[in-house]
Amino acid sequence: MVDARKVAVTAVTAGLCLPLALFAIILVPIPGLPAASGFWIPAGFYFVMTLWFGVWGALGGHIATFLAMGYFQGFTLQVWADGALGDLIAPLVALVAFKLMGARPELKNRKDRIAWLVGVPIASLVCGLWVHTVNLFFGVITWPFWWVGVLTYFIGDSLAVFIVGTPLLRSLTSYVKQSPMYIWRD
Amino acid sequence: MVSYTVLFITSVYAMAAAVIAIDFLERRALKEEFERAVKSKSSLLYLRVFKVLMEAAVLWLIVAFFGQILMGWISL
Repeated sequence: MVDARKVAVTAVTAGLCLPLALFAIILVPIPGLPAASGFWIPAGFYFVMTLWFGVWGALGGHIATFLAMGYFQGFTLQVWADGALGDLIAPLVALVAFKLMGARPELKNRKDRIAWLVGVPIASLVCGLWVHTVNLFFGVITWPFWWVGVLTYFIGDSLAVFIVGTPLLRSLTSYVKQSPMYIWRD
Repeated sequence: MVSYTVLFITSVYAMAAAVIAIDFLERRALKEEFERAVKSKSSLLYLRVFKVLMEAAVLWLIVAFFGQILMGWISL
């Protein structure tokens, strides 16, 4: 059931992530790889919002990525939609990992931390596989670049989510859990 | 000689970072008072969380700005 608070979570997440999706990416070269890895800073924010508020947070990240990619005139609609869908899927994969492991986003105990350390790379890998396989089928990239794309996506997204998201989860979850919108109940 | 644009932008960023740092110190100092206030006014909770998220976003935008200068995407 959609209510105003859920729409507000999506709107706040989209509003927060949109300027980051437009401007906050740093390409970090990885020795031995022919492409740099995109340190995708908004991912840290929409992962956190998804772990707190569920699919409504992920939807905000998706909307922000879709709108931001539209700014880059060289991209086709397929590239926008592909990247934006990847950014919807990735935090939901992490959310499923937390659910399956019975962990909580407070990262207080060992189980929570393991879910975070395992769930984020799996989510980034799934997202990288999705984005680059779709790009391959649409002829945007070629096979020799596919594995490079997946690997750089995996490394860049995972690093960004860990570096940006970990302090947010650790410092703010104790406040957020007082909200009725928080999806985890003990 | 540092250009006027670099000096201006860097000053704005330094001020923004200082405001965020002061806000962080204030939050730590008023932690117990804040928790008492939240019990009577729950909307404060959302304001606090979203404000901290926005502050973190501003800091990361500053990092990205200088990162993109190093990458050559932004030239001043």
